Order: sequence, then structure tokens, then C-alpha cells
Amino acid sequence: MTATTSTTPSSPSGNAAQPSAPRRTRRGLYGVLSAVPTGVLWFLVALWSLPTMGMLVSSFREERAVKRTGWWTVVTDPQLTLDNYRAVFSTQGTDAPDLWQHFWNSVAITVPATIIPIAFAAFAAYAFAWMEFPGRRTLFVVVVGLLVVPLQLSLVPLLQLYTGGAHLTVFGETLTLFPDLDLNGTPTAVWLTHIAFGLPLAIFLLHNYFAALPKDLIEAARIDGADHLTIFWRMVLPLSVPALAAFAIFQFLWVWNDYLVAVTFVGGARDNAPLTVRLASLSGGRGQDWHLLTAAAFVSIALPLAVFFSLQRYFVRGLLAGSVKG
Amino acid sequence: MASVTFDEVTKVYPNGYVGIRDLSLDIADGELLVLVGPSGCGKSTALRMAAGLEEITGGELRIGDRVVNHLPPKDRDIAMVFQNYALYPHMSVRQNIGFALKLARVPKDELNQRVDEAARLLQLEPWLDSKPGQLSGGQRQRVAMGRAIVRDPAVFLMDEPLSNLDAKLRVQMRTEISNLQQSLATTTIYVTHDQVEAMTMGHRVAVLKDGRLQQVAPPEVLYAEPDNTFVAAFTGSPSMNLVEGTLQRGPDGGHSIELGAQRLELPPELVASRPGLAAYAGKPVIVGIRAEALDDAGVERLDAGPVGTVTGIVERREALGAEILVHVEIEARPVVTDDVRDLAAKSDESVVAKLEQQAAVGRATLVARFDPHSRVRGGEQVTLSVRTDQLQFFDVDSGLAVRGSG
Repeated sequence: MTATTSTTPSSPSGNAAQPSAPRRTRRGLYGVLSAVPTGVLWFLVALWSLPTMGMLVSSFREERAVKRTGWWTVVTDPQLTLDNYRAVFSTQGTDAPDLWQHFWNSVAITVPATIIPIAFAAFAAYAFAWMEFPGRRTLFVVVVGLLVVPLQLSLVPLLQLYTGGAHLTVFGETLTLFPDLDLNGTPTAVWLTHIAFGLPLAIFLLHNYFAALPKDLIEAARIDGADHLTIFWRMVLPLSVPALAAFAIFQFLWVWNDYLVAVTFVGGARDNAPLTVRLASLSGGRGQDWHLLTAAAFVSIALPLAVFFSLQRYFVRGLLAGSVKG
Repeated sequence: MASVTFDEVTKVYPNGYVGIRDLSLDIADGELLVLVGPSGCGKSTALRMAAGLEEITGGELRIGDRVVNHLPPKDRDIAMVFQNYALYPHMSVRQNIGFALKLARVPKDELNQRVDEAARLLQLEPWLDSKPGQLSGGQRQRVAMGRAIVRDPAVFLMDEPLSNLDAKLRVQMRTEISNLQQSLATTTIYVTHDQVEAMTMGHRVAVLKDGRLQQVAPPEVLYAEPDNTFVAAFTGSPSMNLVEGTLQRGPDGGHSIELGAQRLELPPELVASRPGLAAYAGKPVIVGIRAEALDDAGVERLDAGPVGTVTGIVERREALGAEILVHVEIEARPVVTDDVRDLAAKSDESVVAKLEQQAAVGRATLVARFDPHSRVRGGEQVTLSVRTDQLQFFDVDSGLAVRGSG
């Protein structure tokens, strides 16, 4: 095809057409090469999603079929059923999976553990970014430094704190620093822990985003008569939706998928266990029930998927467009 | 409406750097005062102190009769236009303009009416519901203006409001802002680094350098009688030619200036109007010559006045149509003070190098504004006619203008 175009002197700009011929070949090669990264990406996407696909398909197959053939046989023998989901949601029997209850336990832990740190951190990050007060830098460094505190190290002290409180005896006087709230085994213990460990990262991320907002905007608002609270609510928060959403997604996924904190604080109380803990005990007690485990696992990833897809547009949208000329 | 008074206002930063030193300025009610100077001269700092965005470390700042040193911005009855507009990107044009009124709890009817009026004045009505991101540069600039005028403040503060616009739009907006300020008669402090903007817009222009006020005067006075060599070199385009000469007193009592081997007779009225000049007899003095005081001696001058002549070699010729800018090298020491060096370095380092080199061999380049009929070419020798009554004189050491009794 390239040969024909180069040898046809039909166009009036024949001179210009001739040197364009090799260029067209190069463009053809370039076209092929430029498709390579896309192809590789698609391949990786397929490879990475395959196990999840397999799980999803298996969760809809009968017990006998799951145990005898691979999930890909659905292509030739499509026999799907909802029995597995009925089984994992059932409340009958002494050791019924009863996933609905654990699903709501997970929600009850995740929602406060996501919303409260964002609310606290946004105020703190604003103060660190835009308010002048002595020791601001030092305090910020200390808060960010808390990021390195390892979670595992603090599990036992926290467990003691939640069951006995914290008391300090000085000169024979006992000061109660933290009352004995008997939180062990309650969802509150779990989300309190997640809030504490989520705050440093939240403050750090939001501070960096807030501080990068154009200074002129804040000053313009001050001249227009806004005080700190107004600037926070009407300027900084609306302009920081992408950062807030990003942190919300990360924190949500982290808390939802967390096993360690949950098993430490509510592991003993099955009624309060979130999905992850219940799922682990199911695979222990019912390790041979593949068909049930796949359904249960899919129940546990359904909400994170929904959250991610509903918030992901905030990653793409640039809210700052047009505020100041670059 | 109010006057603004800077009374020995000083800004010292915590690290000891002095941003503004003893700035004293009286800005009359309804006046448009332009603060101009090279970057880093403290002009924006002065404006931000007036706005309340920068703490005042010394002196007193008054708006009207009130001392506002410690008042927060919102209580100063000011409005500010920022260099990059600082529009609120998540709000519509209507919300942007009305934001200050909304915070001041102005009733909704009145708020809408005032926003509409401002939008009408600035021809922004079709875009009231657009977001800033959908507007062009000029429209954003107008929204920023709208945000300021809707509040009907006592003082407008403008921080290089036109520097983000392209050249043509800048000239247009310059006129618009001038007209708007005229019709609203609101006291305005306007900061710019562009001396053309300063000269065309300001009722008075204050020239700042290194945090110090150099001169404050109406543009024509600033141009014709600069107080020092910095102002002389900063104002006008091309800027004033500064060369070193020696003042000689003739046996008949008349004075003349020696530039190298050449001599310019000074008209007696000029010397009489500058009593301080007599003290420089026999001493070096800096001579300032505006480009329009020079012309081709071969072409008849249109303006009448005492004329002397200087001969030099044409270095370069820039035909601009209505006039020709001719760079002529003559035998005289160019003035290479820190001011001149700083200003030249702002545009081009090589200019400084050339100046130093010329100073070493005692040759200076004058920029002359020739009549378009002149036929001089590069490399030719040319005789310049010099309007001697328009010469300015500055002290060699201090750079200050030589005027009154010395």
C-alpha cells in the first residue's frame, strides 16, 4: 500500500508526496509499537483480575461442580446457582455463617473509622497549613513522626488500655489517665484503634494538599472578610475534595480489609466479628467447603468495589482548573 | 472614600532583612498612586502592608483618620486585586463577586442588585453563571475587578493586575481600569514593575528601590526632573542617557560641559535655575540627556531652543516609523553606578559587560530619538544637536540631582 501511494504522481503536490512515503511506513511501524504498551497493560489487567474472576464464577457454581472441575468449564457447561449465597447468609444451625450480621459489623467498624479521622485530620491539617502559632513546625513533625509507630508493637498495650484503663500512681495518688471502659470485644475498640493509627497519615496527606492551595486564594478570602472557619469550610474543603476522597478510599479499604486489629480486639466475641475475622474462621472450620468460601469472599469484596467505583471520579477531576493562571 | 497615609512605615523580616525602610507617602482621596520599581524593591510588600496581609514592624499606616496597623484585612475597608486574580475556582462569577457581601451578611436582594450592577459596569453579564475556568484572561481580570468594586471600599489595592495579560489586552485593560477608577473616584494604590504602565496610569508615581522611596511625583515631573540617577535610568523608554562630564566656567562667566574633547555651552538660564551647579565648576558631574533632546544636526529641528553639538559614531539604528532610535557612541565616560548596573542587569548581563568595557576606554553610547527624515547609517559619523536647556545634572558620588543651592 505504501508502494502505491509513493509511485502515484496523481496529486498536484507530487513532490511533497514522495518524501512522505517513507514517513508513512514509519508511522505504520510507530502505530504498531505504540500499541504495545496498551497491549501489555491489557494483558496485566487480565492476569491480575483472573483469580477474582475465578472466585466470582466459582461462587455461583454447585458444590459438586466446584470440587470436580475448574471454574473455566462454565464456558462449555454453564450451570449457575445462587445456593452458595443462600448458604452463607443463612442463620440456621449453631455454626451458621450468617454473613449479613458480620457484614453489618464490618460497616459499623469501617464507617466511623473512616469519617472520624477525616473530620479531625482536616481541621488539624488546616491549622498546620494556614494558621500561625508557636511550635507549629515541631508539632507537625511529631505528628508525622507517629507514622513510624508499628501497629504490632502497640497491640498489647492497647488491649490493656481497653480492659483496665490507664492509671498513673504518683506520690501515692492514683491518677486515671484513661478510664476502664471495658471495650475489649466491642467494635468501638476496633474503630478507636483504626482512628488513632489513621490520623497521622490523614493529617500528613491533607496538610500537603491544603498547603499547596494557592496562597492568593486564601488571602483574597481574608480580604473579602472570611475568618479561618469560613476559609476552611468555603475554600479549603470544597477545593480539597480529591484529597479527601483519596484518603477516604484508602482508609476505608484498609479498615475493611483489616484482620489483625479486628482479631485482637473482637476475636473472642464472634457476634461482633467483622467479615474478615468471620471469613478466616470459616476457612478454618469449613476449609473443605470451597463453594461457600468463594461466595463469602465475594460478599466481603463487594462493598469496597462499590465504594471505589463511586468515588474514583474524584481522582480524575482537577478542581483547581481556572483559579489562578499557571 | 479615604486618604491613605504611610508614616515612616518600616518592614523588617524576622531574619533581619529590611523590606521597606521609613516609607512616608500621602495618598489623597480619590488619587491613583502607582508604586513602581524593579522586582524586589518592596513595592508589593508596601501594598500587602496596606492590605493587612503583612505585619507592619514600624511606623504608622492610616486609612482616613484611622490607624490600621493592627486591624485585620476585613476591617480596613479595602479591596485587593491580585496579580493572578485569585478567583475562587469552585464558585460561579456571581458567587465570586458576591462573596464578600455574603460574608458581610448583606441582604439577598441588595446583594444581587449590587452584583448585577458591577457585572453591568464590567460587561460581565453573560458570564455571571460561568466558573472562572471557563473564562478568558481578560474576563477573569474583570471578575477580579468586579470582586473589588462591588464592595465599594475606601481603597483599592492592585498588585500587578495586568502582568498576566498579553500585550494588546494589557493596553486595553489599562485604559479600562483608569476610566473605572476615574468614574468611581476611589483612592487606589497600584503596584507595577512596568514603568510604561506607571507613567500612563498614575496621577502620581512613587519609585521604590531596595525598600526606599526614591521620588514621588506626577509622571511628567518624574520624567522631566528625576531626583536621582536611579529614577532617571528607570523612567522613560529609552531611559535617560547618563554620561560623566566636567563643568567648566569660562572667563566670561558662562558655563559649559566638557564631554571628552567636546564642549557644550550651557544656556545662562539653565545655570541660573540650578544655583547648586556653580559649585561644580571644574569638577566632574553626571549629565542626563533624554533621547528626544538629541537629534540629527543635519535635519532641521522642529522644536526651538538653545542647541549645542556633539559628534559621534552611529552604532545602531532602529527605525520605528514615526521616529528613529539611533545609538551613537561618543567620547565620554559612561556612568556605571550600582543603580545603572542593577537596572541593566535586569534586562541583559551582556549590557553590563559592555558598559564596563566602554567605561574603561572612556566611550559612552547615547540613545537619540531622530527625526524620521534623518538618513544616517550604522558606522557613519554623525553630528548630534543637543537641546542644552533640557540637560539634567547629578552629583557623581550621591547620584542626586543638582538643583538648589548646593
